[in-house]
Amino acid sequence: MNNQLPSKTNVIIDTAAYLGRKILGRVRIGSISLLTGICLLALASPSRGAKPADGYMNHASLTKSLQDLARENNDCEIDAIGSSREGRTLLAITLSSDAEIASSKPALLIVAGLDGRHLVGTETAFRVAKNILANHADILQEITIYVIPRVNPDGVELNLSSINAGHIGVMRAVDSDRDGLINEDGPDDLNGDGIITLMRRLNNPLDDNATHLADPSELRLLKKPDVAKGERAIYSIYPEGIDNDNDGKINEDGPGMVDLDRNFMHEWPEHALDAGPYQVSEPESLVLAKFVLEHRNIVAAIVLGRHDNLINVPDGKGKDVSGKGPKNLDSKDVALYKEISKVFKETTDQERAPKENSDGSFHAWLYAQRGIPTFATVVWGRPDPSPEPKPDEAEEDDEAEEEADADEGENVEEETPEEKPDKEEPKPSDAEDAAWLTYSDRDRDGSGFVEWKAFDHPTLGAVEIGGFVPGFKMNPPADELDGLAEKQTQFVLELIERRPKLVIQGPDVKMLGPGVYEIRFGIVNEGYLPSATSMASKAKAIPPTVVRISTELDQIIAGERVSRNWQIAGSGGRFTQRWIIRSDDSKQVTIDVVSAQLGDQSISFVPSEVATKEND
Amino acid sequence: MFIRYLSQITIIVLSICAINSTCAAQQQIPSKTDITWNRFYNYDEISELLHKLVDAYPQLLSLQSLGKSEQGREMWLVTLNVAKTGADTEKPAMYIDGNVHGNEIQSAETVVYSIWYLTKSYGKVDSLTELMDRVAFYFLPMQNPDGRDYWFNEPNNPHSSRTGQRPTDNDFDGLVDEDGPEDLDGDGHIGTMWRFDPNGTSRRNRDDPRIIERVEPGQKGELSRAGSEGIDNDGDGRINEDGPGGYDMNRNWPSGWQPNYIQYGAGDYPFDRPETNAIGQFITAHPNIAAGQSYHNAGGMMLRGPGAKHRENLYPRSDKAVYSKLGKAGEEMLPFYRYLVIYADLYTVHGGFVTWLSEGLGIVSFTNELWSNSQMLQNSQKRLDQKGRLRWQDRMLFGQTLTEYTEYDHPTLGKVLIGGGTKYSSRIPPPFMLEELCHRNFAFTMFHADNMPLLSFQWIEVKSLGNDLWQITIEVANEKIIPSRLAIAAQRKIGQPDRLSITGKGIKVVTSGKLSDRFDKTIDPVDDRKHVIPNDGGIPGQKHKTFRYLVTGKAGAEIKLQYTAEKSRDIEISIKLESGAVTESSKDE
Repeated sequence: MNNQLPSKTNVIIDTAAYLGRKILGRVRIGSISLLTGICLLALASPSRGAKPADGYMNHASLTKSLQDLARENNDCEIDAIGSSREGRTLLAITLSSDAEIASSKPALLIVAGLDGRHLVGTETAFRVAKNILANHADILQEITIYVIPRVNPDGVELNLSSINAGHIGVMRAVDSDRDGLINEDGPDDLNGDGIITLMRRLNNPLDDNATHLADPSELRLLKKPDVAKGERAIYSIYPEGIDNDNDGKINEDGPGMVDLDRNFMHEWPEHALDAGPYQVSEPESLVLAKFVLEHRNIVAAIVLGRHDNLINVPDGKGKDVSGKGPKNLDSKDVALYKEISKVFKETTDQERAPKENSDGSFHAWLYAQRGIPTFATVVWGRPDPSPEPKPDEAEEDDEAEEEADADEGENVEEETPEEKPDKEEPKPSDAEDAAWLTYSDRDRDGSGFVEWKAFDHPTLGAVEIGGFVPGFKMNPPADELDGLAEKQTQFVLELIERRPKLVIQGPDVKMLGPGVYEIRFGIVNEGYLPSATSMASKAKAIPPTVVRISTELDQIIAGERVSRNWQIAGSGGRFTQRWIIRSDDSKQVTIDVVSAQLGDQSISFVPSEVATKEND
Repeated sequence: MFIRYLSQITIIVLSICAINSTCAAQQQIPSKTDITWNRFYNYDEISELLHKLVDAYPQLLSLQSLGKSEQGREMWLVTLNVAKTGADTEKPAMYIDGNVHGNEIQSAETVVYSIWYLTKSYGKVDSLTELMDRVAFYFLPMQNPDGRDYWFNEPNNPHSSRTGQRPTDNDFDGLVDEDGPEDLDGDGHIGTMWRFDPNGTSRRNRDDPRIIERVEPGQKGELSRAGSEGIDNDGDGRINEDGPGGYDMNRNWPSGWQPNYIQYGAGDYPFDRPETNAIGQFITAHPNIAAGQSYHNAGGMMLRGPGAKHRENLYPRSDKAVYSKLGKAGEEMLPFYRYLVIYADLYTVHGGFVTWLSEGLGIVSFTNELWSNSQMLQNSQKRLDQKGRLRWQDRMLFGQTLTEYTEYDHPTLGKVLIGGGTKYSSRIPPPFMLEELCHRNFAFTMFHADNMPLLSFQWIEVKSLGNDLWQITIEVANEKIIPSRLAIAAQRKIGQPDRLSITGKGIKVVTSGKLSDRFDKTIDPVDDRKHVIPNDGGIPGQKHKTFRYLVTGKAGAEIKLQYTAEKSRDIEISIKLESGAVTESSKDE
């Protein structure tokens, strides 16, 4: 269970087990969200008391930035597309050289900020728009870019405004523990550092199972015991907080919890509380779905959030629950994703991304049901920690210096290979977490991790509070945002460069006999991407390219009067028509093309005037 | 309190009988609203009937519109509730609707009949009066007002106008609803067109020219089928390929929803139609709904979920037993109807309505497919062939559901024959059989409604353990078939668990928990709020569950026990801390 939180999975399960809660399917409740968390760091400030967030925008500053952008740029329009549950305006900007005809040009959709913790996505989406307007506005003659930079302002605001509890979802009131009370037991910042982390308790009484021990390779990290090797659990783990409602459970029903990225239609995790009572049940997710459905000119999308399909391209294997749709990608679209993945890695230098369960996510829906090639990125992968300081430079640092075997591979979930038997130092049980901790120590002044400190808990007694700062693993220091956005802008430009480019060829008209003409007509895709994915063509989700000739049926000797094409392959793929018709010498023939990408077009000609002869 | 409340009912019933001597003659109870049940009513007429009923029985009925349909028609919902026995939301309620498919018309009449029959029976028929005093009803006769209106007021056939009326591009040519059928011969129905074709596959039957039959292999016919009645409006060479609407609102519900390419007609997302959205909002706001019925036609079936094989695991064995008890009773009440499972016995349906009620909300729900051809001869063994059906229609309906094949000069097909059955010729009962159809199905839903959970404290034992320590053992019983919580509700954490709680001055709960039965010695202790025993599994149908408290308190102190359940009426009882057993009869003073 709980594929979304790979590095903390064990902790979560055991916490839940301790709390005597039966976790059915994947139920993430208030307490669990605390474990994953957000990083709202002021740059280079110590972790303790760190306040969000120099260089990161809250709702007000984002709104102002977008308004300024629209005011200062003729090619940028701003629209209120809806409201969050708490009434914050959801904003979209449209980048186009001509707002009037923006919707008749092929469009790229960029969406960010579905997860309350993922601030870097919003920052990047905004900067990409700004960069394109400043330096690449010429492309807006040919393509429209829609940017929805923050879909979940309520969740973000909760994290930014008071205590960083790593809130993921929107603010629907949910009775997470089904006790008839709503949100009555949320997290409590016991140590007053503005961050919700974990509590670990030694000396457990009988009713309280110890589940973890300190990882011998890095005593600040926790691991489950390997009983076969004689390891013994000594700690029980809880989220930071008290039992506000005196039900024996800590933080089991915090504020709202529907996760927008589990609220969409593809493989919706029905019956999971955080997936919502039904699909697109939240004002935020519904607005987003409607935006997509109302903009049929979208040819590709980028989702900046906690999911990734660019570093780790899905395998295109497996079926959905009905057995009729793909689990992740249609196998015929995998090559396309691999190519774009290559471009992404080249332009961004990003090497790592977590693997998250995509069930019910926005990006999975966009692809699997709307057929839109959708590229999801976390924007910022785990960086390599700086090299170990030389012993003479760090005299006192002789304990936590063992550099974790940072996983160099792309797939962070792969097991690290068995170490050689002659190696003496124990390996961390979670290499990624160990590397993050090293990075925090060496490059972030330790601001990513709250050091364990003793605390006298009102009901648990002596505990220690500490652990990763929620969101630390998602959001980079703010001074890296511009550089990241520059790379993402390059990727956006590369993706736009590879867009489907439909071009009309013909008509070529040939006279076959008296009043009998052969007409050939084609639409060629000069771009790299197909006009629609294989998924779109299978799902009939993107309307086909339609070609219609005005010649009456009884005058058509060969050929379809109306024909449809669901997918014009990239790199020169063609959709061709051949008609043989009868036509009076003076009669005009019109070929109508209906295409969201080309815009609707009409081509008229008089066959006798443009025809070549059969034997020419 | 339940017991007190039952005795009130008895008194009411008695007093009514005292002043009304026709009490026993229930067959002839008049209604304040005369409605003829051997005819069908269009959207406006059904709306009018509802208004009349509500005006005539204001103490029982209230009318609201859940919203507007795609074309702006009101979505009428009637609530039947006896106010003096409590608000509707305090009682278990049955939701009954029909006509999500616009052409399945008799479903709306069946719903209105139910309102009509119930209202006139209140205070006159004991069992129905008791039922109405105990439970509430929500009636929505027309889930798809536009589809019904279009079916009645435009030319159609028995199968057309299933859809709602949102314009839809069914042939993906960029145009919406541009090539629907036309009533070329002006008879008010959309018939079948046959083209004269020397190489045709079919010919007219020698004995009965109203029948067009296939010729033997190797023989040449004189006719070939040319589709339904209409012209090629958009000149694409196809006739009637993109008519009004073109989707299925019974595939637009959240549970197991799948997109259009997997499930025809599903829409872009669940609840993306105004009609389904309005109904969805109402139902989710009423967790007291404990039973559901959605009428369709035809085939003579009582259907339950799942709609797809992979969702079998959402029907635990004990839930299936509940459905079966009701369904088997239905087979007795509804001759020629069979109790079936949608995916296994009919076909796969993703995102259906009753499966959302069952699987998404834990509501015991059926879809009845009204009318079966077996009813023509009242014999399920004897099947009528086409000739036989025509003969029956000739003799019993005097040929009213048939139109003769007539020649028509079609603009692109040339000379064609147009004719066949009218839109009333199948799926719909002949008017003279409508009332029986309504009544039998109404009776089945009343059986279903009457089996919504009814809880009571059937036995309470207080035992002194000395030192002001008391053991209180409680049996909560459910005398009806439907449990207070379906097993799926407990398994999937749907809704709130039932709860037993204890309060009393100077009472302290030492420990509490559930027992397997009254002879069980050990409890499964509740660790957190000990005065509340959560019971996610509810009280099973026609069974009881046993609970125990150990409390401290002074002898003679008064304590109150309360059992709350979303899908049943809450019950409470006050007893004293003194040794002895309290049973239902002993406490009914």
